[in-house]
Amino acid sequence: MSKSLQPGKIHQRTITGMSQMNYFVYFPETCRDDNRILYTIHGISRNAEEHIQGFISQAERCGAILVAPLFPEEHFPRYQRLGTSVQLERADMAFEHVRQDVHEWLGFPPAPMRMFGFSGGGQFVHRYAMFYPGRVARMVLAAPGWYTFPDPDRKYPFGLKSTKDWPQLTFSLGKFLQIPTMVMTGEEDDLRDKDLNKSREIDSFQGLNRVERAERWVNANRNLARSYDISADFRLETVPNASHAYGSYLGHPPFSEQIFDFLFED
Amino acid sequence: MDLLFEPLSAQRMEQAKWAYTTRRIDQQQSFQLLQGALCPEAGDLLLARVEELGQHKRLELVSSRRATLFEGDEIVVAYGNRYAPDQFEGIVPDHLEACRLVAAGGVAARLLNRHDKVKTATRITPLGLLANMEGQRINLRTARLPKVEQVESRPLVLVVAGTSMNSGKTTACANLVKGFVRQGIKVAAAKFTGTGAGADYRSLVDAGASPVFDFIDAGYVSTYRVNRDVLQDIATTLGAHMALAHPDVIIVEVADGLLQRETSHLFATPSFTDWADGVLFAANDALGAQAGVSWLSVRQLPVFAITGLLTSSPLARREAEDICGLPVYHTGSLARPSVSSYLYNCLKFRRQNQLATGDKEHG
Repeated sequence: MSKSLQPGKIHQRTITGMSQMNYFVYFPETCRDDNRILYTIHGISRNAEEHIQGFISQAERCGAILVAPLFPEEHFPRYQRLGTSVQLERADMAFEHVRQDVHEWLGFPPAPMRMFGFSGGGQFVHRYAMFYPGRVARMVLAAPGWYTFPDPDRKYPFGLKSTKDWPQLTFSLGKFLQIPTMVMTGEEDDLRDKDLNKSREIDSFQGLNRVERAERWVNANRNLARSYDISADFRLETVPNASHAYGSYLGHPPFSEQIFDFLFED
Repeated sequence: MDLLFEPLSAQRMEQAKWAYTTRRIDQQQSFQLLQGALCPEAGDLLLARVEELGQHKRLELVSSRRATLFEGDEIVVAYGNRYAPDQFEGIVPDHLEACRLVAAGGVAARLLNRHDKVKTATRITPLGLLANMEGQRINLRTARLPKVEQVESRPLVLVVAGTSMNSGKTTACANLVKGFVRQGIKVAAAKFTGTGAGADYRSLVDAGASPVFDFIDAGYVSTYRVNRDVLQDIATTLGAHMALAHPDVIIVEVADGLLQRETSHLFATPSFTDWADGVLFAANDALGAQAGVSWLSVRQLPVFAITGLLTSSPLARREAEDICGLPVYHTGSLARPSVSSYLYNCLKFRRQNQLATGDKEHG
């Protein structure tokens, strides 16, 4: 483990390469040194550090290291979809650099990740898991605006079908469906606010708000798991009184506790 | 009355219209006409004269061309039982009495019931049964595929069943074949139950399946009122002959709805149900889909997705997904490689899981 890493403190690191990118790390005083890492992905407000701050008490409770990459808007305007196209602004590849840097810095070998994403971060996380199911151990998605459905007849990013921008996509759904997944939606997060994608295509098959869309996505995955004969774990949880603001989710004390219990329950 | 044998000239046999159901019979052989106090059996071929046109004004020939019928035409068809909720119910008569053409593919039967919206069946007069020169009746069983003792290959098996006639099964089968073939996946296909008709068979051929069989290849003109041993014989014979061709996937269509007697018997035949890797269920509406999936699930059949007529309606499709807990695929989309590749992978995944589970249980 790196000597430059002080427990109980938020660190900021920068990686360079195809594009410069920062990420935040919190190393708990209770760290069990067993590769218990939570990767948390921000929404379009890009509040990566706030994610770390909000999870510190749970990180200490569970002895979990927190890692929060920050996807700068100028380089990753569509990080939620993993990129603008297969060749442009690939947030998943940048994230992989972060992951490698974390493991080199901490001295742990890479292992399937426990991931959390809020809003646009939830979009990133589930798409990342669809692309790389072997890299994700468990995931929690809170309040994604819309989803990639496991539907081979819809074009990516609405479904899994290849397009001109995203050619030759292949997905291992059998692996993806085995990732334990919890989707959380705010009880009051059923408004068609200005940040919600209200395209006709999404409205028509995903639903009119985040609550409906979460229900349909969870059901679609449960259905597909039955089709594959996999006993999958896709859960849907409601966060009382939460609207779409990140603070209103965090304001419900069991919110972060539930996330950590789910991600570290094994 | 004694049996009478009358030689049939080659010219007369050539002028007769041979129905699709007779497609395995060699028309070039010499025939005799057998008359007298005969009790016909299902699959017996008869030479008949068209007396009065009714519902079927055309006869599907061996080539599947639908030939126009005229009163006075001589036709070669097969005796058989007919089950068609939207047309006729008919049974093989006890003797060579006047009877009806109850299926355009060439099935002669005594008419029992007909749907309100169809005309009465075309009336025909049997002139006699066809026999060979040794005096033996020509029955479809005499030209059936041989039995196969053992087949090593074990391709993936996808069964398509449905709520009823016209629920989208045949279209689904043809589209599935096309989708698989477009990916370079080798497909064999067969229809195990129903009444002899070329349209279903030809649509599988047209989509690119090879080989393609139906129950006629196992020696049966239809499967209505056959016993369980016959169903097992059809499944075993056609299944083995498809496997002999070493396809990657076998697609099997089961006719009519799950409540139809022979269909339900087939789904209660362990050798058939154990053979299937997945059942794709075609339904007309969400309630039918729910009933079908429940029916299949109670019998521990591996139903893995829904398709059919209901998929024309996005709302019906959503209802079915919610109530059945399974993915629903638009019938048309099954022909797209993007969809069929996922169905193929799903079947492969299920097979591997099944093998792994079997290994654990036996290990």
